[in-house]
Amino acid sequence: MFDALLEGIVNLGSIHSLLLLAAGSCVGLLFGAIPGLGGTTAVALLIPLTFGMEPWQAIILMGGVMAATSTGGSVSAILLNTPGIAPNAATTFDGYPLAQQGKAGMAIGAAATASAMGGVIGVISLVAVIPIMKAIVLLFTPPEFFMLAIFGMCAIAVSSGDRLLQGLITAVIGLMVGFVGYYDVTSTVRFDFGIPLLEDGVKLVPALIGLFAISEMINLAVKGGSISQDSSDVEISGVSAGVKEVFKNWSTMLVGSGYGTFIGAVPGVGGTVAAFLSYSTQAQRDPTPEIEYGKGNIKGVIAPESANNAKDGGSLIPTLAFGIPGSAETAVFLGVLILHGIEPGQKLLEDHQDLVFTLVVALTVSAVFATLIVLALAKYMALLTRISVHMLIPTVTVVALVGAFALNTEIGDVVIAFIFAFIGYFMIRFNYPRVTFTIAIVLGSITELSFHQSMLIADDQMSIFFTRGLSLTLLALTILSLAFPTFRRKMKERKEAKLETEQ
Amino acid sequence: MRIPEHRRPSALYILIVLAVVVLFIATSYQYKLTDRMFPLMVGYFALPLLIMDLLALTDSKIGEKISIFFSAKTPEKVDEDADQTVRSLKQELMIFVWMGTLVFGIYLIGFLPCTPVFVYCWMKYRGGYSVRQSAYLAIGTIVFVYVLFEILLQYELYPGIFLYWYG
Amino acid sequence: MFSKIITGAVALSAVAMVAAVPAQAQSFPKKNITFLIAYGPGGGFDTITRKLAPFLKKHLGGKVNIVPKNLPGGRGKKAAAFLAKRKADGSHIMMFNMPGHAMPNIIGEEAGYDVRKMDWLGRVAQFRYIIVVSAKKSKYQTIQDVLKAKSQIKIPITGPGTTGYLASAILWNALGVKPKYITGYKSSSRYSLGVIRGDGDLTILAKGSFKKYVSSKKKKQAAFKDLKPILEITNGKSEFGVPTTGEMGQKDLAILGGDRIIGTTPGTPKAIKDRLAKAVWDSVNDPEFVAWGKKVGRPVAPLNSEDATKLVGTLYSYYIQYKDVLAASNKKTR
Repeated sequence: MFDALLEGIVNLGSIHSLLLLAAGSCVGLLFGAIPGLGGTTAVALLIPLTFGMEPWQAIILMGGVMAATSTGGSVSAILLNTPGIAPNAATTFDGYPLAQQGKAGMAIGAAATASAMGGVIGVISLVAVIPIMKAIVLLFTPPEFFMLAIFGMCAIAVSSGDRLLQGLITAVIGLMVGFVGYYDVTSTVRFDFGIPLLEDGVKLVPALIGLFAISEMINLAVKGGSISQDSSDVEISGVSAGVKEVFKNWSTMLVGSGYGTFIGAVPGVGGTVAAFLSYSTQAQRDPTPEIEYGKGNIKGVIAPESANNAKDGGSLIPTLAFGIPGSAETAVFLGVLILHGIEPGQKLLEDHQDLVFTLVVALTVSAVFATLIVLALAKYMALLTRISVHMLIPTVTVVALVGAFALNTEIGDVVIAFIFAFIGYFMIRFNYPRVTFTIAIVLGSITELSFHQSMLIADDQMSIFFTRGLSLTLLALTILSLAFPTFRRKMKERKEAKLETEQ
Repeated sequence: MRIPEHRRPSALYILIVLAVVVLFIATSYQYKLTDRMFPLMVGYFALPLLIMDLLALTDSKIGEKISIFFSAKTPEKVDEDADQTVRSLKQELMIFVWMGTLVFGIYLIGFLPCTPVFVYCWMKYRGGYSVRQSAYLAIGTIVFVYVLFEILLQYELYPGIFLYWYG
Repeated sequence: MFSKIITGAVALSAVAMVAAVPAQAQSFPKKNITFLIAYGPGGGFDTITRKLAPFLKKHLGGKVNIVPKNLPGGRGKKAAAFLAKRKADGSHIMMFNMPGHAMPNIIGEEAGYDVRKMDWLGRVAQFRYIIVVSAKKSKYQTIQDVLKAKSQIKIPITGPGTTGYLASAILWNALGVKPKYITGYKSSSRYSLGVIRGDGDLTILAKGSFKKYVSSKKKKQAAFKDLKPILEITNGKSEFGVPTTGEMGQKDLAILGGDRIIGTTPGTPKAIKDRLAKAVWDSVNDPEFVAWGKKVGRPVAPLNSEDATKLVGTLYSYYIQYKDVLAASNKKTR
């Protein structure tokens, strides 16, 4: 294994390889930052370029792209409340309020640093678990998927704090959105109302573009001014302060990276869930924050950003173990390997260990490289928040709509983005949490599917959920996460009572 | 039991969502058991939540209780903590019309003509910028979109409904 | 006199038309050709289309580009309907998934295209199925174990009405086994994983997809660490040394599988169609493409335009026998 690692480093050692990696990194940043494009599109579009390359060169280019997208996506999440790719959605909750307070530089600094750290930790974990990776992938069967989804939704609903009732409402509405379209268990198309576009369900990316980007533009248009409410001449910098915050809150970053790696390893769940879970766990671990979560707490940026980058390493675990893609990006990446005559799966690790480690090294270096670029430019990018809304609104709206279209070259997706823009605007206006809504769209179909599959496997015996170790553990975690806020409140009351009697 | 004037828009919003949920439940009943099980569960779970949310807006005793149970705040405190931005319905409608026109325009004649026209009109008529400034940004945006999507990425940007089917 | 002029004009225009046809063929292709992919990036169709595109370019003279374009939606229907509505000038082609793309036509669903009317250019590849069990967890280690099984066999698979499900249903029906299907897996790699981790007992898998579960270091049986074949659907000899459906006397079943056939808009002028069909044939037989297919476990299976058209007809009439099975699973209401 060590030889292979060395070969990986050697492969990356030439100027030519480094240029390839840098190019991949820049493409990844750009595609990550523009909503609707994302890493999958970037990798797919670069395929023809790799035809003339050696396999390891193609891997360096693709690795560069994959490691950089979520770093790029965090920038638009923070500056424009627009998750560049879906896993950046959780970053908007605290990143954008920070930008509104004139602390965009700090938020970007923290996000980029957390991304690099998460990326590196994810890759290291990947290498560390190679001997046991099959066991990890096999841990998750339908009952575990079900419990994981339930846990995710409960943990996130609870984190909506004093808007709990409204959080629950948006969660159930999100679930309803998730039911639209083709259902794999019965092959039935539901809630399509005869519209062909809805047959495939509401796609996440156009929905997120509407829900976050365009709704925010509508909101700004109604309010006027500029994104940064802080009109004083405070210099927009603080980038280095953001970098320091990550190391100050290293446990947040570590937990986030752990979530990213672990959930990334489960095929079909993905970075969005990892980022949301990391965010809500952080909010729960920190019961008395100096700044409320959702109002610009820097830890609310570090948690999701370390998770969504760590998932790049994690999602390679099922790929290397069984040749099964852990995410949409790795699916296209597998396609690239096949195009180059390399069969993924068992043989990849047996016959092409050098290529595997070339990818590992490329992912690591690109994660760091992308972060350095973002850190270098953060100061200038943050100026975007000072621009008058009347320049920002039309340009962002148009580019976001083009992005919604570009995903599948489907005009209907533009209409979906528009509809979700309204939903999103009313959620902002009447203060209904968008956190629970988003996660419910993602987790809704997993919950239903894994429940029905579990019932098929167990011949309708509910006991399947309670007789398996991991599924039970997840259940216990769910109960804990629900009981936690009540427990916290009681402790607080007791403390206050004690103080009163002492006086 | 009545809903105070300033909470009426919120109440209307909840009623609309309630109507959607009822439609959702009604639709669910046409599906087979496996297909309607989860949708119905979620639908019937949504109803009491929405009704509680509506009650929490009223000036009644029960409304206050609900509000305190879920948020540890009285309805008055919730009002205080809410976003205080003044939003006139006229202003909101105006912006919906702008955005709606853009999307409809894209649907009819495609991205390429709509992009500069929308940017120009917004800057000129909503932002009050000069003709020259508006034109610069409009051209800048369309060049960005065209170069990135059409040239570099080789997307065929949607050309409008007529050209899409008959072009 | 007048009629003479007319006759003359008709004759002249006929000559012009005849002359125009080769001219059209010679000038084709003038513009880039879009190679539609009915699914998203990353799947088998995406990969093989992208690999084939440069070969098509080469065999069409190398002057125009063949541009692969993903148009996913409606489980493949959207792209096929899009292709059917193009101008019939050879500007768009697509690799069809048979019999999958024929399913909406068979059950009489509105699809926006009809596989019986498409212009077929030729087949690129085909795949045939094997039955696999978990090498470690399954109670059944041979096909005999399955046939003699007392308890119900459980099969993880994609949803009812999909090709994998249908092939399973036809196969087990013919072998007299009544299994229970655990549906809902999104792809064959997902349900293979389901078998490995013990969600069910066995499943059906394309041979090409199976190869990634085979270790290269060890020979034969020891190479099957996760999944193990127990039955091959073929009338020939088994590649893995397991029993075949042919040996079991089920010769009809050998049709089960998948064919990747390139088609274009119905009504494409013959000259253009022939030119495209020849390019497809030459590309699929290009030694470099053949070698690639062999290397990645997706061997080519060329068929010319005429035979491919016949094959589509055969498949259609075979699967329409199972219309009821298909339609029942696609029914929405109770």
